[in-house]
Amino acid sequence: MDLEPGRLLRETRLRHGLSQQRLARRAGTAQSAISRIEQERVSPTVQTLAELLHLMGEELVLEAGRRDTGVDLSLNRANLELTPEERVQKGLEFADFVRTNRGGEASLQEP
Amino acid sequence: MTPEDLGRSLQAEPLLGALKRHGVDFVVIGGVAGLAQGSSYPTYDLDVAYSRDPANLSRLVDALAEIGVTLRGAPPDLPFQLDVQTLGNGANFTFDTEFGSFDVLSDIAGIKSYEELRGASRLKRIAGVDVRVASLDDLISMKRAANRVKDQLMVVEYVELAEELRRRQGGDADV
Repeated sequence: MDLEPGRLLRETRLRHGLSQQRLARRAGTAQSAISRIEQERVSPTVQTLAELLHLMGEELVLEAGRRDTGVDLSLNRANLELTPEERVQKGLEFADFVRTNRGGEASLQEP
Repeated sequence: MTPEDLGRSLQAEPLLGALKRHGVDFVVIGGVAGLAQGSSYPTYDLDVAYSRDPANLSRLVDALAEIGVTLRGAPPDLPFQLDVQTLGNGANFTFDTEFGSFDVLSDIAGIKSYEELRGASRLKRIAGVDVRVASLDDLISMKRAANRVKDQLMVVEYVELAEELRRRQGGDADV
């Protein structure tokens, strides 16, 4: 998550021009409780965060989107065209290739 | 780093074949299972999970004796009595064999029980031997629990792979 709950709460509160004390009064809690959340000393539940945002006329919107992991699935898709037995054989052959060529670059650099 | 650091070249058939011949109840996990599921990460050892049933321990002892295992990283003079009592007193054993590194595990982070692992596994043929291979979901759980840097990288790939398989199979299919 790029935006931490505490930062979200603090930014929203400041945008509304509210003090921690005033938000705490609206929430029926202590100013220190708001402070702890904003300082990321405690992580609020989704419900708590949503309620605090409601008290400022805002709504917490959560959504799940596909993550860009950078994994190139083309290798895996090629593997899926093989039988499991062929996949393992290919993988172990690649492991042998890595094993036998590891350190080769360092060797080339030696005088 | 030398090629020797990665151990011997792994030959899966003699290891899996011995387990199969002796009727050991086991599930292939780790990198070989990942490869069988379509991963592109190489692996240098064979990991299997095994049932702790006493009769299975006896069969496992026979298979390990046939393979000729030695404890990996242990001093050569450290006595290791390969019998049911020894296996019963331990859980995870890491061996050297002439066929490559071979780990037999029963206490596996990320797995609730062997029975659940086995229940979700699938029969696949590896190196000419029909064996049970852990599901991708369980492989993901194990890698998450291990949580080394290499495990974190593999989790990312396994999740992508699992999603790819689910897209192909549709719905909430076991993978």
